[in-house]
Amino acid sequence: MIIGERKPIPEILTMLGASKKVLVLGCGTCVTVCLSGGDQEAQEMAALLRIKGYDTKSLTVERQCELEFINPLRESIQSVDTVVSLACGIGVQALSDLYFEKNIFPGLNTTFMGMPVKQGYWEERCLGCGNCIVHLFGGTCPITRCAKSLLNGPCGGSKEGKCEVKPDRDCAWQLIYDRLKKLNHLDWLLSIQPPIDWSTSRYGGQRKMTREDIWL
Amino acid sequence: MAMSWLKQVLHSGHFAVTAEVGPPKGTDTQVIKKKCDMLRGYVDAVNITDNQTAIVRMSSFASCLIVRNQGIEPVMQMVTRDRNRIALQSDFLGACGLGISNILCLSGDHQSLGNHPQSKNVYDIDSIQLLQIFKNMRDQKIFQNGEEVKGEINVFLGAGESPYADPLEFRALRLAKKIAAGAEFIQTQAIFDVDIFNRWMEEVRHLGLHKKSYILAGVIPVKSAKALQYMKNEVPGVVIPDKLIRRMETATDQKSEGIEVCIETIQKVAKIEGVSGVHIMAIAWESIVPEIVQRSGLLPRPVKGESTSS
Amino acid sequence: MLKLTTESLTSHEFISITKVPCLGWVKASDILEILAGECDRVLLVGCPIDSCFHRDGSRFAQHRMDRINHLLEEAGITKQVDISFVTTDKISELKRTLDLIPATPVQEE
Repeated sequence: MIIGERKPIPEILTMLGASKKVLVLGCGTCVTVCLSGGDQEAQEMAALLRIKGYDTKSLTVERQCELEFINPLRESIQSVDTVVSLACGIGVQALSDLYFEKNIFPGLNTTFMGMPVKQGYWEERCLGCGNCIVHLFGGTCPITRCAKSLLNGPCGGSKEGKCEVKPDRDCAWQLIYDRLKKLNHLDWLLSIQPPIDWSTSRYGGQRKMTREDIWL
Repeated sequence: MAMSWLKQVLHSGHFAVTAEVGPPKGTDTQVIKKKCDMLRGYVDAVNITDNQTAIVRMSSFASCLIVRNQGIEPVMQMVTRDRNRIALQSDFLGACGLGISNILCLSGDHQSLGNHPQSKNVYDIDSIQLLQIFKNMRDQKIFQNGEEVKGEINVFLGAGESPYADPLEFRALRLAKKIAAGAEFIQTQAIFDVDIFNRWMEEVRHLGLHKKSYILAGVIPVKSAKALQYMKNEVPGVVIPDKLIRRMETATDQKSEGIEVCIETIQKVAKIEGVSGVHIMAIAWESIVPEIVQRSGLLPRPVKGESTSS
Repeated sequence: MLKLTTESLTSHEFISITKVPCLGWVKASDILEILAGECDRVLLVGCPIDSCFHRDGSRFAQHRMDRINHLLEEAGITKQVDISFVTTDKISELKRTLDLIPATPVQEE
C-alpha cells in the first residue's frame, strides 16, 4: 500500500492561513489502512481545526485517486474555502485537477510503497523501478531495500545483519544471502548482475500505462 | 602512455606500500603538496579519496593531477554514490587521458553519513559493475552501451574489500566476483585481528584469488585506545580484539604503542602467503607514514626508471 | 466519562458524565469532538490497565490519550485529556462525591 504520515499540525495551520470554512477529506483506501488519513483521522483533524477556530467538517470517500469518487464532492467542496486532503499525493493532485479553483492542501506527507511488517510498523518494499527482478534475489528487492541499490552487494557496511545507513533496518544483502542459501541457490550470487535499466523507472520520466481495449 | 608504477612494483614481486591522502575541504593545493613531500620515497603510490564519508572535499580527479605533478603515483578513488555511468565513464576518459594510471572502484559511503545528508545520491551502478565497465573500456574499447572508445587506455584497476564484514561466509566469494569483474589489485579494510585475516586469506588462496589479483592488507595507525574503541563501535567491517584495546589502554604512551601495533601488524601480514603489499591509511596522520615504513623494514622503496612529469 | 469545564481538577465543576462500556470504546475523534465544544478537559475513568474487563481497552485508551495530548500540544491548544484508573470500590466513592455536589449552571469561559 501507499504509506503516508500526517504533516505536522503547525505546517497545516500555516497552509490554512486565513481560511474560514474548511473541509477535511479522508481517503478510504491505503491511508485508512496505515491509519494516517482515513475517516477516523479526518474526523480527528476536523475537530482539532474546529478547536483552532476554523469552521470545519469532514468527509471520507472510497479513494481520492478515482474521478468517480471525487466527482460527487462538487457541492461540498464549493461550500468551503479550503480542502485539506488526507489522501496520498495522488489523491491531492486528482482533487486539484478537478477542483482547480479551490485551495487543495495536502494533510499528509506521502512516503513509500510498503507493508505493515507487524502491527503499527510499516516498511518500504518497492520503489517502482518498472522491471521487477526480485526473483533473482530470493524475493528481496535490493533496489529498494539496499540503501545503495547494489545489485552485487553487500557493501562493507553490513554489520550483524543490519545496514550501517539505517541500523534498525535489515541489510538487504544479508536477507538475500540467507534466503538463497536456504534455497540452495548461492550460485546465483556469483554471476555479475549488469547495470539496471533505469529508463523504466521514475528516472526515465513520468510513466503511464494504457489499456486501449477498455477505452469507451 | 606509461604503465602504472604500482603495477610494475607488484608485478616485479616487490612488497608494495601504498598510503592514503584526503584532499582539503578547500582550494589550497599546498595541503596536498605538503602531504606528498611527507610521503615521497616512502610509498609506491598514494590513494586519493573521493569525497570520503560523503564529506565534500576537493575532487579526487583534481587532487590526483596535483599528486602526479609532484612526482608521486596517484590511485584515483571513484565512488558510485555521486555520479552516474555517464559521468563516471567521462571522468575515466579524462583520468586515463591525463596519465592517471590507477583507479580504485568503490560504491562509497551513503550520503546520510556525511555532511550533506539532504542530498540525493546516484548509485546508478555499483562498484562491481563499474569495474566491469572500466575493464571493457580498456580491453574491448567499448563504452557501457557498446559504442567504440577511441584512444589508448592503460589503467590498473582496483577495488576494496572488507574481510570482516557480514555476511562473513560470502566475503571471499564476493572478492572472486570483483576480480572476475576486473579488479587487479585489492586494498582491504583495516586489519587489527591478524588471525581472522589469516583465515580469510586461507579462503582466498583456496579460491586461487591471490594469483589473479594483488592483495594489499590495510592498516591504520591509531593514536589512542579511545580511537580504537570508537572504530570498534562505529565502523562496520573493522574487527578489533579486546586484548588490543586493553594493550593500548595500559600503555604508558598510547601514541607510540599505536605505532608499534601498526608496525607489528604490517610485519605479520607481510608473512602471509598471498599478501602482496600493505595499504597504510594514516587518516589525518600522514606524517607518521615514513616512520612506520622505515621501522617495518620496508625501505628502500623501488625507484622509478622513467620520468613522471606531466 | 466525566467532562470538566474548569482548568483545575480540584474545582470539580462537572457538566455531565457519560458512561461507556469500556474505555477502549472511546475514539480519539469522540474526545476531540467534546474538546471542540465547551470543555477544556476530559477525564477518562476506567479499569486499571492490567485488569481491564475487555483485556486491552484501558491500554488503548491510555495510548489514545497520549496521542491526543500530543496533537493538542502540536496545535498549540491548551486543552487536555487525563486518565484515571480506578477499581470498583473507588468508583462508588467517586459516585458518592459526585452526588454531594449540587448541580451548577454551565460556566462560560
